[in-house]
Amino acid sequence: MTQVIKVSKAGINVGTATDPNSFIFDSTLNTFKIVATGTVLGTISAGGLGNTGTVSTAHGLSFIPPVVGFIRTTSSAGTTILHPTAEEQISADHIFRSIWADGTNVNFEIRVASDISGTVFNCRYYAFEVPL
Amino acid sequence: MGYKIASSKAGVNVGTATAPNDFNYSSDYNTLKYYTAGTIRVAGSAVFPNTNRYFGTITHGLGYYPFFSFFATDDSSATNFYPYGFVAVGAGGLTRTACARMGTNTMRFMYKITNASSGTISGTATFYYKIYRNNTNL
Amino acid sequence: MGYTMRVSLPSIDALTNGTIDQYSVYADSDNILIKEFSRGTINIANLALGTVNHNLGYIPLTFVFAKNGGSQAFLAGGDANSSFPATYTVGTGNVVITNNFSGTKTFNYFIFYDQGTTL
Repeated sequence: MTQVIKVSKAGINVGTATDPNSFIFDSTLNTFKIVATGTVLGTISAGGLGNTGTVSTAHGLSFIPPVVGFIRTTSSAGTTILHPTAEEQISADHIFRSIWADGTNVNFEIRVASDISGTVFNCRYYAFEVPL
Repeated sequence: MGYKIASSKAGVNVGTATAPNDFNYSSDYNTLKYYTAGTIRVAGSAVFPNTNRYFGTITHGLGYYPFFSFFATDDSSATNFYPYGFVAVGAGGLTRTACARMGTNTMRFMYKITNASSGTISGTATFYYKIYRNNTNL
Repeated sequence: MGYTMRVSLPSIDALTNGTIDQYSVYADSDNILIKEFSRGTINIANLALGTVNHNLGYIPLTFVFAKNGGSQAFLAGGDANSSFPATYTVGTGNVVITNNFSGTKTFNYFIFYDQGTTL
């Protein structure tokens, strides 16, 4: 007989529930694991409209991880964090183009607004487990 | 000696496994933990040849910048759920964009309409967001 | 009285540390872990669509990554003009990935039981 650990949501009988969404935790189901996370500060110079640069940091893993990330920017809209492919919310703003990982680094591709020079970006990545 | 809880995948020895992929769960690894979720609709229009931005804001009140995800749909194609927004070129020179940005206590969603065709074009974007407890520490 | 299960990360005292980020499991009712439904790989030709069926009947939380040479990029649904020109949408029965790269590419996906549009 297989032993399991389960925690059901409030009001749900853990002994009889079968829908995976009835559980907060179920040891028979894979839990999406964050295997590494980190931050990096990088500066990208403005170079006219559409100037794009990359901020990189080593992830220290032995494989190419799937990564999700966010960047913090400060503009006239205040200090906020952006998700990948977020467009500018005002006409002069930064764009977080993409995030990707290679065998060594996590890379944040950022397009700098044309009227803002020497912008420092604070970037956070989450590296997850390998699909296969 | 540290202790932990681990549950290996079927057929894998939990006592000897080391790779993250060998476990369904291991307390060695952090996880994404939900905080709240919801829906917000943002409507807008644009008269040729203008581009207009429309915003909607929700309050999460966490006091820090959290991990987040969201889907966005455009009412013109409501069966397509776009993760982290969309940049879509519609028929007749209409471009619609949906995206978001996160603050320490609020999250703001943007729906942008560009009318490169004629007349007035209207639309609505629906955002389905999930905000996590995980602090990005940004 | 409600019960919960909390498991701290290595070197963190589970009984005294109050920061949720320090827990691997924090199974209070408003902290719900992400539970995997399926994962896999799909190869999609240039300018083609690839479909991964899940048949869950609702919009599941989904992450898709594009492999390009020695890199793996996170895909958001939006911008086909980004450096990684691929997008995807999620429906109640499948995930549809559009490859706008110049050649055939491999895509890794994770689909979860967890709802993508509600808690």
